[in-house]
Amino acid sequence: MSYVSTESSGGSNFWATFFESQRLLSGTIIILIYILLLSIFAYLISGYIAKLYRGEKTWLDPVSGRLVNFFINMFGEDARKDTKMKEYFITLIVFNAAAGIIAFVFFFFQSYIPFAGITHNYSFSLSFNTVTSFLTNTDLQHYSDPLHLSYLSKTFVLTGLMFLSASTGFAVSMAFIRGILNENGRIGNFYRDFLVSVFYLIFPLTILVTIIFILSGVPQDLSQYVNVNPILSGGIQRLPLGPVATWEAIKNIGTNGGGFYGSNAAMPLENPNWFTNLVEFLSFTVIPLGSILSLGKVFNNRGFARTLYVVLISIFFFTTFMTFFAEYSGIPSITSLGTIFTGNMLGKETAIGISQTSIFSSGAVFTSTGAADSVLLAFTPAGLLGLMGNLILNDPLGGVGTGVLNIFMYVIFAIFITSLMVGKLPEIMSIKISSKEIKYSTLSLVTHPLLVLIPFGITMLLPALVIGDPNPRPDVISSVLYEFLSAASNNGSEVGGFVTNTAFFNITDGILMLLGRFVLMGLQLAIAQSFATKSPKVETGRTIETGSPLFALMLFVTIIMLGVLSFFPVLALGPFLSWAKDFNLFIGGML
Amino acid sequence: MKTKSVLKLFAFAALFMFILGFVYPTVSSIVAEGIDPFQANGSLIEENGTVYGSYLLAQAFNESYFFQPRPSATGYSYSGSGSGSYALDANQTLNQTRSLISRFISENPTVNISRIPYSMVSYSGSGVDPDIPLLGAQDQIPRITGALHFTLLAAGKNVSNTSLESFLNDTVSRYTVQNFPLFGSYYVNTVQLNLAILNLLIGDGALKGY
Repeated sequence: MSYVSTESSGGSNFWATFFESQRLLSGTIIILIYILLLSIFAYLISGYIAKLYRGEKTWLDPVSGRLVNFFINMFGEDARKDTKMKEYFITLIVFNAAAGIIAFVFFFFQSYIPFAGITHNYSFSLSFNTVTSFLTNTDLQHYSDPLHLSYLSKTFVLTGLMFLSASTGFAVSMAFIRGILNENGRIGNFYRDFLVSVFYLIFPLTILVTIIFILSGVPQDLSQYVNVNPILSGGIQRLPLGPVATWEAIKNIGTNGGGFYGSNAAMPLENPNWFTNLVEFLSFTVIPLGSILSLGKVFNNRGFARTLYVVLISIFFFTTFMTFFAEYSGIPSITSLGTIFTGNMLGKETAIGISQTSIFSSGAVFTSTGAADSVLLAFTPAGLLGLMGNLILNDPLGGVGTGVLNIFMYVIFAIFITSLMVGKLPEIMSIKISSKEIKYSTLSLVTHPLLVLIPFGITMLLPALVIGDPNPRPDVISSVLYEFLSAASNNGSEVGGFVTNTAFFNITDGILMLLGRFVLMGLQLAIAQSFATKSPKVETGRTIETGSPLFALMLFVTIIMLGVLSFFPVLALGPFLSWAKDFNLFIGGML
Repeated sequence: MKTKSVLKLFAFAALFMFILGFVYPTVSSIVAEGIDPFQANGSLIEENGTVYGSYLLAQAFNESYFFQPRPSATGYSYSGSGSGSYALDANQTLNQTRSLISRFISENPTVNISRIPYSMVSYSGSGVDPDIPLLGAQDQIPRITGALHFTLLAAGKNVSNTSLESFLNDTVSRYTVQNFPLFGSYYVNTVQLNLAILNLLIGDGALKGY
């Protein structure tokens, strides 16, 4: 395994050489360092997020507070009144629709806009797909060439939507938590929550991360592209440039995940080295995990936050190491060729390496980011299965804000089941769970499998819809399943292999993304509304203790069972079958 | 909902898309270009106003005295993406890898297959990965030594193979970095290596410029 002889490895010491020769060990250590750093930073930010959820004073008040008040005054009464769920949700929908319409107009007609300097127009279905995908925090990109986007499309339209979708997500989580805390039947004001999300959380963090990226070599300029004469060869190539650092910052902080360049964070200009890779990973996981940890402080129930942390991190551990071990070992047909094989480097970058690629990809599907620093199509079947494991659970950690909502759906469901089993009262934070909340949470949990499996079934029945995929059948099944999983869970990562820019996939994915985001938000806000009219009771000790290890186990089992039961049959046709084929696991020549 | 409220929301959305989406990136660009124009413009290799590439992006270095970067499925295009449309277990991928291995061996005849890192015969994710594993660079040193010797001889300079080899070894170890502190694996940036070679050739009069 060791391919660096001691005298040649660039002035190294004993330990560096040792770790160089033990790639499996050092990869494992790198992944553990990533998870440790994530936990530390999420813990550090959780107190601040808890203050935002409880509406308390923070140290950003002198600046952000003034900005929020300025805009509230600008929009008058609409931005001040305390609303119920219905009005809150309608405001949210109209706001998002407005942004979507504005974006669509600018995007679809980008070649007619003066000074845009671009002559390329996108088709209707591609424009629809791109706008919905950036609006719903998904960032599935069926377009690939950044040269076809004008500066205005890259900034005003796409960067603008990335900010808006992240802040909308966090605003909804604020309303949801207020619903549980309040007793007056009101869940807040969308304008206010949106402004607080922007000025207290998303924008300050984006500025910080932008500065880090600019200092570590990510470009940030006003040009659309620059002409390059490659060394000692004729022919001019266009190198797309522009505001990459700000794009990267909001892409990760807002758990959006759409790349400035077609190859996303694999492109060295988006992600030049291990340091930026680490910063990107931390910036797309820190708000989702931080908001989960903050729940302990919000509800004065540390045990609850600990339970959620343990359950989520164990899922993350499991899927990450599954991906890492699979990518490290590769598949027999390639490893038997006789080269020095230290991991499946096809479609990965040397400066990032196997372990950091695995944790990055896993983190991107564990949250709803969907950024990729590698080509997912070139992953081993088991590596891809590790990523899909997160997607079938609807991105366990969720996006900015939406993670809190998703985990609550599982918690409500798990409390209900556990209470039924042991004959206790189903209560959450001392609030009684009634049939209405159970109905809504169950609906929101089945929405995801339904959204994925119905279009998947249709596509499988009509093979003509999948154009130009040269790969073995099980791989095609995995790619199509991944496509719909990613759209419905608002993730945005993509395996590809077939032509995704077709009217069918553009429109279907667009609809899935809209339903996967706004139907769930509606159901979740309805739960918040119904909690908002209830007041907490005195602890009686006859309810499930949400901080207990037993409940943690139940929650873990509930999450895994729901995902696995809904998706096991299709997983068997896709990644499991490819895996069995690659490793010749068939007995007696079956298949 | 009243029409006025709907219009207000349209204004709210447009205003924030403009502030956060347009004003913020534009202002940051102007500031960044003022502070660090080299990195803000993409770490470009510039000589007398002409751009020859970027330190962060590989190109097809079409001379045998250059270190070859990893193979590219997109022909080192800056706006293309990906490692091709074949899955890892497709037959085409296997054939591709085989032909990339034989190409590497025919370019570097001194190298045995058991000394080729898999990265050197697999497409990178971006298609423009400038970095290769340390061993991938060391494998190429014998070939580059010969080619440099020949090129310099043609320009009337007889430089011994030993001194060329030690120059290349020094250059490689000067630019060797790890992809994670202590635990990472070693790699080198081919653009930096090749610029060092280019400057040597220009300094010795074998080449006029980029």
